Amino acid sequence: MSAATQGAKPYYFVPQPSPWPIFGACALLLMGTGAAFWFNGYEAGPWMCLAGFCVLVYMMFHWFGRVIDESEGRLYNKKVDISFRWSMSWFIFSEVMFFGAFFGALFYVRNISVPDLGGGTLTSHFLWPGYAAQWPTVGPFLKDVFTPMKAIGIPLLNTIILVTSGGTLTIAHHALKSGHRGSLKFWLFVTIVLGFSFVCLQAYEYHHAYTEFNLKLSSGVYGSTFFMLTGFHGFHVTIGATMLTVMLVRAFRGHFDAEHHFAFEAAAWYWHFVDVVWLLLFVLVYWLV
Amino acid sequence: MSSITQPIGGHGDAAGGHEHHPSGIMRWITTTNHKDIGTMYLWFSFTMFLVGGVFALTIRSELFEPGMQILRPERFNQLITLHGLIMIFGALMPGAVGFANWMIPMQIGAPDMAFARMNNLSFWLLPPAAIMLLLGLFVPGGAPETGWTLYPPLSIQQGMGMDLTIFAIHIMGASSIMGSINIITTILNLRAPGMTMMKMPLFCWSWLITAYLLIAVMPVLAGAVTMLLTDRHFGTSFFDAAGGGDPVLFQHVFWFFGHPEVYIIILPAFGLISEVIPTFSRKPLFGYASMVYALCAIAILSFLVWAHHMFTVGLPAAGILFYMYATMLIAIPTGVKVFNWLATMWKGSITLEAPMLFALGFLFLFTTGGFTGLILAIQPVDVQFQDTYYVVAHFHYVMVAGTLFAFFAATYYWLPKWTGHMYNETLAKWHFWGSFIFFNVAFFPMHFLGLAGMPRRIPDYAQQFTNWNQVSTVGAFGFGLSQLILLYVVVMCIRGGKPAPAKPWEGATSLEWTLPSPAPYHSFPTPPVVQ
Amino acid sequence: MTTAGAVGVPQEDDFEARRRAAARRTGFGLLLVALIFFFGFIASRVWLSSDVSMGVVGAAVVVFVIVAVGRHLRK
Repeated sequence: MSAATQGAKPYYFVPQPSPWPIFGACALLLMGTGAAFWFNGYEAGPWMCLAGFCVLVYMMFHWFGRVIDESEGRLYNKKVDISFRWSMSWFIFSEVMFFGAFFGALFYVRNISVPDLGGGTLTSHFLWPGYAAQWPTVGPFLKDVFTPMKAIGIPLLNTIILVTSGGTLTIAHHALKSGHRGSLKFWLFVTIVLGFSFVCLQAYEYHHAYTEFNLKLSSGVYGSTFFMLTGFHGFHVTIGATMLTVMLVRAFRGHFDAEHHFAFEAAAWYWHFVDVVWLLLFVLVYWLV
Repeated sequence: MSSITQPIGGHGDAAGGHEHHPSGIMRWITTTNHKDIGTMYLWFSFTMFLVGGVFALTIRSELFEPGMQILRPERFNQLITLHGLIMIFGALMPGAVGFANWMIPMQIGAPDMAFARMNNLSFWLLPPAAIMLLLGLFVPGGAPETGWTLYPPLSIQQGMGMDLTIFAIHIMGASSIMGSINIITTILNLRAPGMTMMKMPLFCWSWLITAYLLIAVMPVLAGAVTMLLTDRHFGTSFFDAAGGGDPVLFQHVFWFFGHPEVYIIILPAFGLISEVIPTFSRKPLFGYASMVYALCAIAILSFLVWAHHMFTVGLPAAGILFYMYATMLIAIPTGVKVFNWLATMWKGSITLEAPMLFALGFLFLFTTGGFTGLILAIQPVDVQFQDTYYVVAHFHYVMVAGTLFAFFAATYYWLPKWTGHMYNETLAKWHFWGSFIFFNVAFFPMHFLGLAGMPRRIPDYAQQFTNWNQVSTVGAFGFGLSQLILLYVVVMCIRGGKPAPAKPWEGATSLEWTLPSPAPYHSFPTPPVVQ
Repeated sequence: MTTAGAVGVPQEDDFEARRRAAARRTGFGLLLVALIFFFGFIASRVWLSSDVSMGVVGAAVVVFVIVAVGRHLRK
């Protein structure tokens, strides 16, 4: 219901008309067309993209701020809480399917397209003679030489960091449920630090790959799948860590109590999802080479 | 199916003063009301239907005679692409979401959708996406010439219209995912007390299943077009054999989305038809539970059949056999549904108002399209028919005479509830007969053309195909003009007409008919109790 | 409705039972039609001039369904 009926919770919650969705739509229009102009060499492109991004961030601040106000104003009842739980679960499922497309591509190139290009088929015999199908590869035509990523080293360290962060986040959650605010803030802070250090290490690893290993996004299908999978994962870690940072700010402002903290839980679900994707990445992209 | 015993509280504004909403354009921009948003979805869908229809008529004009008449070949292919994308993502999917927005809260006894603000965003993402799609026509290189399937390597070589299309697809995907999450949450969480899952109107069931399909496959499409984007601009080799990739990979990923997408388009139509037929047969739906199970079976099978779109790319024989038989299996649950609709009408007390006429048209023509689908599922036959007009005839029988006819049926069925006025039955019947006859004139000859070997997506053709192409073009224009009757009937019905009672159809049983016509701004501020 | 019993109002489960019986009859009826169709389909492949016999069987089934369903058409 509206903010006017604070106090008595109505059976259903229906929000007032809101100006923010149209901001989001305009932001995405600017970002989408901007990116298309940008990639085709128009100077206005990046600026349109930037403008769209600013509008998007502005919208998120206000829209999510409004939701937080409503939540802290105790306008949400049990039904709204259940709605949030359903929606977050299915949102994460959609993210799983998004990664599924790229994992599927990895499976396909490793098990079907690369063996076909080199493995004694007529195609390989006539079109790509002499190409030995092996993984990692730049493909039969490209001539770059690169060093593939090793699992031991930064990736292993990153695995440890991310798994640990899952643990510290759970400690923070337990602290929240038992009302230990100090402990909540501390362990949440530790989780965020671990999350951002993961991103920094990943950035360092990318830099290393480009400068030392000659491993680039354009290094054949190995480079394509490697950078797209780890890149989208890194992007999701950044989003997750940002969400957790918002939760930390809210914790400092005295939000959440032992029963009423689904925002925190949703961020935690998301964090665990990112965690699981990384484990898959570690095994399928780094380890089984 | 269900009846209200005791509505708790009145229909007034117990929800706390939100009849007062901004007026004018701001009402539509800021609205959080499921009816306003549903209305916008439906008008957007109809607008896109006309835009895509004009493209289709341009294509048909070009094909009236062999040789090049009015279009350059590039432009012809661009119109083919945009016709497909706009009809699927602009007309059919938003149309189905529009019906969902309007009817699901009313049918389950809820006040609104679970996430009303996100609902607004889901809609308002669509106009930007449509703008970006159409903008492609005006940029250097024009819109994609690949057809709606966007196959590489052709899609890698297109101009910036392709990039606009890719981002438009991202945005429409976001819209669909948000809409689906909203619908699932609404159905699972906001049902009135006593409205168990197995008492829900079948339309709600069909959308529940559809929403799951959408959440599962739209992200995969987003992944596929993202790979296209990076192949185009950032040097990746997903679809390039030179770098170890494979253009066929795109086809796999695309059709993993694309085949469930076919069911995303038809399942809501099944739901709508399952509302209309019992009402006008004055009998409860035959085999309700089996209808639900059939929906689930179709949804599950739809994930296992995608490669039947790729029978000619050189799949291994074992794969072909698997996809062929899995595809044929879908005929079983679909047959269950057709059987149940027939059995619902069996010994029913039938009247033929416009919604029922369209439902019957659906039944005949969709089943025809289903049968040609079975024929195409046979791989040795498909090798002959791949990319011929036979395929075009097949999917227009399921998408136009299937989904679109169901939308028409539902529009006439619920217009009295939406507007509070009865529509003009005579004109509506004219609309039906115009659509039904001209549809067949336009699309039935395409079977012959395809069997004779006329390829699709080509602006020119051999002379022996001329006669049937001319028949088809005449039919297409007749079909297009018939839709103006719909526009006229709807506009007149909004502006006035005989006042509609709360339940204008005596055989209707679902919850929306317990509300007055037009339905109040917020459907059920307090939940009705269903027995 | 029911005039047999002393109580004029039909019992709920009585109505439900009759509805189920009617549904079962409908199901059997249509199933029979389907079986005859498929039998005719197979038979027409075995015996000669399959095109004609299949056409006859198919047309008969469609006409029967239209008549059976449309018989109760109300104006």
